[in-house]
Amino acid sequence: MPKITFIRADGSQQVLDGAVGQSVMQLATAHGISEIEADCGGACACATFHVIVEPDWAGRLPPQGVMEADMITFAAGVTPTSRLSCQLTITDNMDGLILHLPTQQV
Amino acid sequence: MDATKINLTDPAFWQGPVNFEAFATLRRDLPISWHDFCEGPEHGMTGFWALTRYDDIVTVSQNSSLFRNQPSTYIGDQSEEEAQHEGWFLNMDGPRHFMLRSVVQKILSPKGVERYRANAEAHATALVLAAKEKGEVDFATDVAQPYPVAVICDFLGAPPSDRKHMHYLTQHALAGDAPELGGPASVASYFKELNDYGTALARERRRSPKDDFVSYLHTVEVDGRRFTDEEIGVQFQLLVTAGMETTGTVGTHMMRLFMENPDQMALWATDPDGLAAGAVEEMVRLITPVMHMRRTAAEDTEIAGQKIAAGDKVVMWFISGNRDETKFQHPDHFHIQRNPNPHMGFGGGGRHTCLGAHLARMELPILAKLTLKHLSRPEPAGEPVYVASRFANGMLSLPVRFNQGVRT
Repeated sequence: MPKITFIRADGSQQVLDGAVGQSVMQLATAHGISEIEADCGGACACATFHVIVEPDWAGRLPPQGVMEADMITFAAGVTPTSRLSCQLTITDNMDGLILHLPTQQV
Repeated sequence: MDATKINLTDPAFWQGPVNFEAFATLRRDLPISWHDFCEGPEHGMTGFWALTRYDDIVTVSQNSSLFRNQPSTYIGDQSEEEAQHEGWFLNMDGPRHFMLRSVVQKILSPKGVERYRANAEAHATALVLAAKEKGEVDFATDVAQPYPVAVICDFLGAPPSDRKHMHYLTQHALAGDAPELGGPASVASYFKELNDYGTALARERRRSPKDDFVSYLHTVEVDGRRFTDEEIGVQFQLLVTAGMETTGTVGTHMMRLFMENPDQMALWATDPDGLAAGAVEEMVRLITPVMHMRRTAAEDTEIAGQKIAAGDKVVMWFISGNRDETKFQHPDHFHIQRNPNPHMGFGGGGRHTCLGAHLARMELPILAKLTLKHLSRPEPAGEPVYVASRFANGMLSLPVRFNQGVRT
């Protein structure tokens, strides 16, 4: 199972075992990561799934689709490696992925 | 069937149950087809492209910069101002849409709707037990429709005495293209009456706030200012129309599906809580309470080889995409354990996805569980009546009797 590390704004870390095929959002919310508010449930309608990808990893993830690119502009504190976790489907290639959690979603 | 002869604007096409054979023909032979309005009040309005395949609908739904909700999501012609009086931020794009939607999004999030669960349970219990007591009811008008009407009216702050009137106005506003509900020319007047009702309620709550959504809207600031009473009135209307007819439609069809598929009803009854989440998604797929939405092309483009000009209307027929053979095995079957079930009953994804989806996902399992427990062995007690609308896949009447030969 791919291991994914979530790093909070205060520096604390949580490492979770992801299941291939689930979204990063599903993994995070199932383990009580409350920084991902997940207001729309994963339909890419709310921009409250914001995560910031560790720069080393940014180029190794599948590129943003048009829907994610549109919606992420509304998230707070967007960086060049920001993604919406509802649109990141976990694959075996994501073992070791490091994601930073924002302090505020929108 | 000749795909070129199918005209989705013809009122006769929408009589009775949905013509799924025609949509299957369109998907196979003419997946993107042009439709001009037939005789009637909409004759002479600009026609539209009809998208019937799942993938094409997703393409349009998810690309909100190329396929816009402005000026309107109405299938006919309407000014931007008229559209915003009827659909408010549904008929907007860009940051303003996002800001206005965000005001409601958290309240109707999966966590947010939990606040309304106890009230929903109380309403559903009262309606189902009353039906059990009678033994024979119109499941549409006695149970499935009044249930979400009561929940959304309590949520918004409309008093119980006005529930029936709210539902009457909503049904005529959303399904008003059906001749028996007034026809397309009358639709605007029902939206206006709902807006006026919402505005009056907003005025009242401005004076004396209560613990309801209309009162809450007076506390919100968007773009550095509070909403006017009229703006709150339109938001009231948007939520009342969206929250009543859709869930009422799914609840009514649920009973029809139970009668047509007793095996699936029996299966669900073996584990009402455990199977509910998937079963509800399957009902929303098969029923597709909102059958279409329109977008407008922002520039010249192409969808699956079909040239689309800037300004063309593009209509996503969710009712067809939800039965696309390339996405769903045996798409016409009611299969409560269908998995995966990437249906488009709440839209094809993206920023205009159904805002009330999680409210419906909270409400419907409650109704289903109570129905399975108390209303066993349902059987038809008269002819069902379908709404002859191209927009709302509703039922006006579904007479049913229960518990025949069962000691309860």
